[in-house]
Amino acid sequence: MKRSRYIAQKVGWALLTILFVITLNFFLFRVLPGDPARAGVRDPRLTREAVEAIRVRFGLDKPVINCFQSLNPMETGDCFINPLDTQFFIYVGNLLQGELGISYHTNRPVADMLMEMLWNTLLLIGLGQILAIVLGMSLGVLAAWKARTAVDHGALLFSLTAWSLPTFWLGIILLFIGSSYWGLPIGGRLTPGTVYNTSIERWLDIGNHLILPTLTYTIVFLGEYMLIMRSTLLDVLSEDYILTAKAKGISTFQILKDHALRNAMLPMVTIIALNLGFTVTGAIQIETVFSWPGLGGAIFTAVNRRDYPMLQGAFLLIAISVIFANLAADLFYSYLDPRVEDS
Amino acid sequence: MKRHYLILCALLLLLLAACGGSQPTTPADSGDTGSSSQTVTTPAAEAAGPVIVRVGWGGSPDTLNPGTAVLAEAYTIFELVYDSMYQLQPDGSYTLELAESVDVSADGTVYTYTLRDGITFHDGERLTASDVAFSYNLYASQEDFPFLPIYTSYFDSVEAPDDKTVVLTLTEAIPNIESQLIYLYVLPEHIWADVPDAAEFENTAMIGSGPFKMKEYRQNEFVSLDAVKDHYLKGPQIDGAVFQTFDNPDALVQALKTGQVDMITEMPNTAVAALRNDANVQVVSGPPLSPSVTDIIFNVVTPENCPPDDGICTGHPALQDRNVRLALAHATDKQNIIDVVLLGLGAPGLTLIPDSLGDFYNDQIQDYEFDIALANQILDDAGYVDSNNDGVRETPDGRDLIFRLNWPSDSVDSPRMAELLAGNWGQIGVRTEQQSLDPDTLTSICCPAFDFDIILWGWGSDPDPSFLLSVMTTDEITTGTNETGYSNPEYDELFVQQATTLDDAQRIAIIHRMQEIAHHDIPYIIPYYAQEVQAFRLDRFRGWLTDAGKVALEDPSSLLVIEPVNR
Amino acid sequence: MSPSPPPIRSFWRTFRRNRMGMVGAVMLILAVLIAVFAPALAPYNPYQPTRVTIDDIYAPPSPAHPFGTDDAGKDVLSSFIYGARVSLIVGFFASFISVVIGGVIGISAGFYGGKLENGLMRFTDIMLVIPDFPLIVLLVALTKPSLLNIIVVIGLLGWTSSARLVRSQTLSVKQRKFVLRARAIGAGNFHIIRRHIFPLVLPLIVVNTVLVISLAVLNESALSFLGLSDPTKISWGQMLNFAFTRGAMSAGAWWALVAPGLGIVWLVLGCTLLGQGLEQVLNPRLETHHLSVGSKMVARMMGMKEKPSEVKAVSGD
Repeated sequence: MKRSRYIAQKVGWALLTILFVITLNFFLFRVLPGDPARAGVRDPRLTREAVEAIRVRFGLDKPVINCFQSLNPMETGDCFINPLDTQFFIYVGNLLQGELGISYHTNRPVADMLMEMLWNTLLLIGLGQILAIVLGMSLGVLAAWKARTAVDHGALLFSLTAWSLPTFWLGIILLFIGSSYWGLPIGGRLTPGTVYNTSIERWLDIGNHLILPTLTYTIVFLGEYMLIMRSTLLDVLSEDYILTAKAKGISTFQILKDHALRNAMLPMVTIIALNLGFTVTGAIQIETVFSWPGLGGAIFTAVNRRDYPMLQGAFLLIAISVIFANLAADLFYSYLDPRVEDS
Repeated sequence: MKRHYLILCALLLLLLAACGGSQPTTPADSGDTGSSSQTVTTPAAEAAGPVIVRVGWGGSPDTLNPGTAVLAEAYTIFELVYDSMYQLQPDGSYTLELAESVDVSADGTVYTYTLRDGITFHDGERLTASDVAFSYNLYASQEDFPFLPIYTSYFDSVEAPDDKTVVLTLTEAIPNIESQLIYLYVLPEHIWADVPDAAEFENTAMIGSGPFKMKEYRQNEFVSLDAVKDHYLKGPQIDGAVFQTFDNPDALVQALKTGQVDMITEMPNTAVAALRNDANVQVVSGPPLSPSVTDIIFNVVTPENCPPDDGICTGHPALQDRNVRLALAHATDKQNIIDVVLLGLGAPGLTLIPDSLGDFYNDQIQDYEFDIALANQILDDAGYVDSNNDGVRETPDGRDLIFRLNWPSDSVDSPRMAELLAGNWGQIGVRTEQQSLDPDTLTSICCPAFDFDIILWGWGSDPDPSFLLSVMTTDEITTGTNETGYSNPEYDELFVQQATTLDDAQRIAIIHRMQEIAHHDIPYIIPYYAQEVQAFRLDRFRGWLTDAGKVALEDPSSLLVIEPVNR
Repeated sequence: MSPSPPPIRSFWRTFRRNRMGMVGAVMLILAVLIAVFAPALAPYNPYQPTRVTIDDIYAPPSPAHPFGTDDAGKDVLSSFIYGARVSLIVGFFASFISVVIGGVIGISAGFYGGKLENGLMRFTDIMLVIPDFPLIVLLVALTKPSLLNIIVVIGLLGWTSSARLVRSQTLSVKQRKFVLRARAIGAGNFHIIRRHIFPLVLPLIVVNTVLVISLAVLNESALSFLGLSDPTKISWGQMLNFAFTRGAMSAGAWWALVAPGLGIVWLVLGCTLLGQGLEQVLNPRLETHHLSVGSKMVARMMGMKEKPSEVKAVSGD
């Protein structure tokens, strides 16, 4: 397959997936039970007029799409209306302009709020991923090198157990240990009210707040990388050419470094990209436990407050990020993998 | 190896680019993403640094716009940053805040306020009568402010004849003007007059005239306030206050224990005992400043009163019978619920009017005592017997006394309360089908649909009893404000009377009578009046108000009087 | 004339020697036994209302309550034992749904090929990149928080890995001699699938089920932590939710957190070890592959194993 065609195909599928996600995202939220206008504001003081005003404000008074006033199939509507005046196309149109709606809860544009939190989440996930990858891979190499010894079994047991831990549970335990015995901050990103004289001080403060969440993240995710690395390496090491190399008298370390690791990198890249979708699960829990102001914590708050535009926006942002990450991995993979050019 | 690290870095860069690229940007982007570049500096920081009190809480203001805010956290900040005409005191009385005196016309419809001298906004502009008039007119005219119209519904006109005088004319005389004005914060006209859409205004600069001014606000992270030491009324002893959000209740308690915050405004009741053992911590509990209702709602709407548009009205017919509700009331062990759910931090409830409302609360009412035998007797006498011996009684026409019992899924205590109720009621042959529902679904089955049997729920009200009482009037059945579908002409009549009775004693007498009626008819069981709990550390600040009788998240009085221990 | 799957006895002989697999099997069986015999094992029935006083709340371990009591004064040990039921039910049924959907899609795609395969696999790819958990959170938040909904939602979103695994296995089985022979003598498609393909794909499906159980259990606990599970059903996740929202840590009641947390670790670890062990035995070539990673990983790893020769080619440079 020619690379250009391969790339075009991958990009095409990514775009199609995004389209699917957008449609899914829109309709999921119209199957809501109850009246979104009263979401999170269960307050009898809210008058009927106020509810109606909120409905108009959030565009909920418009038909969902041509022929359907709502998603209730019994409530059919006018089919001959301007499609651009339906909720679906207004939604898509707004998306194209980068608008994700207004949060029910805070009355602020969702896009603004998500933007503030995205970087915090990227910081946490990025740091946690790098540590998990580096430590996990090292442990995996060690285990494969010392295969079927006590070291291997110990590393394997540790990784499997780490993977089996409920993230939030580990987080809470680390929170108590860390704050009681190590004097680490309990939550947040900064120590509020602190006067920073230099930006280095500020970053140190952020770093201090990052220790526990990152530790939790790393423990939960390194097991996965360790297992992949170990099994890939074992697989590669069982190949004939490794035997040949061994016969030539090349040291195990050299073999690992020159042959095995290179091969093992290929699946690792794919795994890391795919794993991003999975890391969101961890981020939601960790950010909630440690009050880290990121997307995951925002999802938790939005669920509790039934802030549907926020949930919708966060899901879309996460899904699109993961789709792009996978696309990036695919393209990168094509660069690594010669079979794309060959066939 | 080097090449592989490059690979990893390249991948991460791509990911970052991808995520950044997928992020839609809006023209009105607040530019907050550059937060990393900003450093906080204060001019001429004292040698010891500013004295900042750190408060931990579980929430965060939903918005800083007083017109659209809902959460108590937002009102806490408003109380500190804004002033209004009156201030609610912990004993339930009101004192003048912005005004030094008020003159009421003989017919009770014209209030003439004279403002205090030397009030300035945080940006240095003077606060004058025209700011007050502007704010009140804004609240009255903005339809997009969801809650405030009810406070301005009696407003006829608000005028500012000179800088110091505000003339408020009402359409009719009302007894509770103070409670109408306490949440109408006075905003600076020179800022809000230029706001195109007041409901969408984020108000992040938040210029007010209160004893604290906004320093830095990060949603869901913290609110940082500076003290206004030369405030015209109440200059704080401290230099500032920060409110930090903790998403997790255990983290909140842990933050206080480890001294990372000086005060927490809420906590799980289970933590109280452990905190009381901490020598550096003082725990205070008491009824809330504004009523916070927890209710067991019976669907008692009659077919005649079923709302014609929205009503589904599928309530169990047995609940229409006062005998059944009476039996359930006798079979409800309120003290046990208080012990298990609240760990004892509450008082048994009577009606929607809580004991914290002072004179308005009718303490003469004798509650239905917990007596399973009596409850069984009542049901036996009323013809509800278990004729097929399956452990569940039936109505005379053969329908089982099985009630749907719902509660909001975001409630922490309700599942535990439901368990206890099921245990209690099971002893009198009543079974419940329990289901937690998300708040939207619950709203849609509740009212005005009346598609339920029993709901456990709760909500907050303002400190005047008027709204609490209105919830049981017939007029509110179709609006959805009446949760039970309860209708009693005598009660309705009394409600109208109390709303315009100016004499305090007379109004209180009417309100007491209304509570008797509501308690007799049992549209609700009020399991308890819960107490609020706060805790302070004593090692950095002294002077916390601990004996005010009431505890309120939104009550800032402690922050105005505490001072550092070592000064 | 069906192909003879590896005789059960020889399977057992190999499996017995797989230490991790055996440990996992024992762990899982123990959990199942506890769940099945819960009424006999538990000192109290947590679903039965009991009279508690304020002193019973978060009472430390004692002879009457070996694991202490929880925020409602209930015996933690009894809830723990009964909780195994709900956690296992969620795990088994959710992964059953996933594997059935994945199996049907995988076999259809692999067996029929062509446009159907293309379409199904494209759809699988789309579902594969959509992050599961936020979607699960959304769907559960939007529907009634009942056990059934949680099972269905977790099940409906967890099938992608099974689909890809089953498809690649079907593809390889399809080319085997006995299948070609059956086709040559005019056997119908359905017959071939039922008699020849399915028995050979089944072991893989079983392995996948075990692995997906662990994911479902973790997802259920995370949902509970977010307050999205059914509070009237006692699962380990729900026990943790009560402990977190009602301040177990703050009250110093570590016992309310430790038992359900370890229960989850136990179950997930057991499933993971068992799944890994089974995989090694059924497919010795894979050795220690694809063990215990997220279901998505398993899928991709399998997919990549299809052409090992090309992968090797990279090493040449």
